[in-house]
Amino acid sequence: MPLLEGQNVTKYFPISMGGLLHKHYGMLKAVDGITFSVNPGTCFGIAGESGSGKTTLAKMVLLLEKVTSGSIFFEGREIKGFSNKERMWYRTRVQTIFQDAASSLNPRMRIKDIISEPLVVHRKSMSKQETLARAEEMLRLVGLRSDHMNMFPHELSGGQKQRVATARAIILEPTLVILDEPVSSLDVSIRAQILNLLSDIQERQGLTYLMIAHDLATMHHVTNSIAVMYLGKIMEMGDTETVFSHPLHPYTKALFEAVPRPEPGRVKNVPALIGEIGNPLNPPSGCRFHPRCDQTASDCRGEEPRLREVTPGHQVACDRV
Amino acid sequence: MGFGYWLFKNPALAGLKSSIFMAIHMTQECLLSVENLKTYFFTRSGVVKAVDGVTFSVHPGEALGIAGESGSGKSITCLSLVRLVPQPAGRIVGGKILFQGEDLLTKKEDEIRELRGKSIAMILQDPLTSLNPVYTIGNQVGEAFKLNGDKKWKTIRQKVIDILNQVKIPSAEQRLKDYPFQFSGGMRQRVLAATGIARKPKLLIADEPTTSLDVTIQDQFLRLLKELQQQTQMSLILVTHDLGIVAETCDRVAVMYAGKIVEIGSVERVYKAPAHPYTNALMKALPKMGRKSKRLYQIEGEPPNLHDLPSGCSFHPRCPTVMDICREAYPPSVPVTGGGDAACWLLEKGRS
Repeated sequence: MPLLEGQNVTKYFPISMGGLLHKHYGMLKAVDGITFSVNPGTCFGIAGESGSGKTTLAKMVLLLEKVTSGSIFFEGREIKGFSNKERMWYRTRVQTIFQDAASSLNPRMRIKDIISEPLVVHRKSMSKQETLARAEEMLRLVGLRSDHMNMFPHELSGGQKQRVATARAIILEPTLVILDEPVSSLDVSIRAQILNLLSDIQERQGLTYLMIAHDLATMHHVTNSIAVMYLGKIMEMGDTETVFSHPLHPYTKALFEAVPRPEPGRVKNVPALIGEIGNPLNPPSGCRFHPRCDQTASDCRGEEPRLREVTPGHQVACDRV
Repeated sequence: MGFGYWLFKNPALAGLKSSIFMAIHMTQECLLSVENLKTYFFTRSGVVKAVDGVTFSVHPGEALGIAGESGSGKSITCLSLVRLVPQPAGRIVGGKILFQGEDLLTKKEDEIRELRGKSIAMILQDPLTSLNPVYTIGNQVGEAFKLNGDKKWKTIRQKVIDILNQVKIPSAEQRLKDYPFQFSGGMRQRVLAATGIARKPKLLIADEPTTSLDVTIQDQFLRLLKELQQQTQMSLILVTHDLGIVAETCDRVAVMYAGKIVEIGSVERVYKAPAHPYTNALMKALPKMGRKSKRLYQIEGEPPNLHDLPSGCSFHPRCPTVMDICREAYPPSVPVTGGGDAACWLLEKGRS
């Protein structure tokens, strides 16, 4: 059974203006009917450019945004209908590491208080000594020293802050951790440290990751399966190895080609993708990618292509492959 | 005959002669040559050596990449080139910046002002903060032509349209009257590129021009930059932390660490056979597309604190091949087989 499952998940944000004479302009379709499943112990990646809806999806999984329609299941239970008590339980099972670790740490709290806060909230019966001992254990697990306990966030470097955020996320021993761009704000030499740390922790604790990133090289390295999103829709989804070695969707191909690689003399055999991502308020008709696609045909403008399985486990939303 | 003949014939002076010849040749060939540039920041908690003895040169029509992590001094190096180091804390305390043979550091402020934009142009990281939100795009790009001596709005307007077309802004004529907020991130960066190349500079400095852009838009912009550079034959200095961008856009690369260039050379040589342990480690630590490994190579430790640099070579606490001498003195820059230079005691030892 998959740990996390989404069925036809949509999120529309109503766009309106004015106070008294409330005028409704339309719907911003941030996430528009996506279906996915994440198996326990794996890392599921969501790749896409800004505006593709990947962060909105993560927020819905975290119960920070309400689903407009469709459902998300965690361990087979729908998260939408959770009572307050179940919500508290859910939040001990699902934790997150935010994109910018520096701004997700309260500057007026000491590291020990930041790391142990989840315990203070969710394990009220735990004694103070136990809580601190546990926090120290976590701190060592993520590669920091005990003397970091009494420091404030500003005393730490970017990589160390990311380690603190990681420690806070895993202290409750969750089953699912959502990583929103975990390394994009870090320097190259620190990135490898954090990625290795995350994979060590995953192995040790048997964690499941849902990772959001725009850096495809990192994605390829970390994830087991991957979904490529564009304007609120999944364009291609499947096993990471398969998708990276045989990308099928024209968007995936163009995206992979656009990534700068440290290989001097590499000749790009595909011209640069034209135009920019469409307007989510009024997405292009038919296939959302058709205005930028180099293989576009008249029927691409008509009906929206559905995500279909091409080979087992490899789904593509394009009728031309 | 006489002294001149002796000078010409004397075999003992052959080496000296060739080095003089080389020196003359080099200064003629270089558009920009930076020698031992030092830019320090004088703060309450001490002196920060943001740029500490940087030497490099840029040839006409060449693209040089400056790669490094945050705090390595790459942006301050660029700001020093146009004398825009944040005052009063920052000061250029030493070195030479020879641009077309003239030392920029001895020039007066208004002479430098004249140079900026005309001979050396700059594109900054965040296009939104570089553009004034209350002026139209046409107005802002037109400013460059106004400075160039054009007076009539009609001629300026036509020139602006031409240059916006050159940077591939669709329907440029209509978009002249738009304000920066009406442009997308990629388009704003193109507008900046247009203002950059408007006065046909000899050298364009681009400081992390694509950091705020999406991958596909970044690809578009870098291709455009390359195209513009080839069309106008200008030189380019591209500052970035992304080694992939350097590989695709530049001819040569300088890798910076803690205010110093640790390695410089052709992109092919540096990527295929990095000579400095830091460059080598960076290349190995990079997750690569199409090659999946179980674990990434990791560089231990953190980039040094510029307030409190390690003794000797700044990289020694993180270096896998550290020796005793590394802790004592900074290594000299020595030539590397295959071209370029690197500053590491290992190479110095290998030579002797």
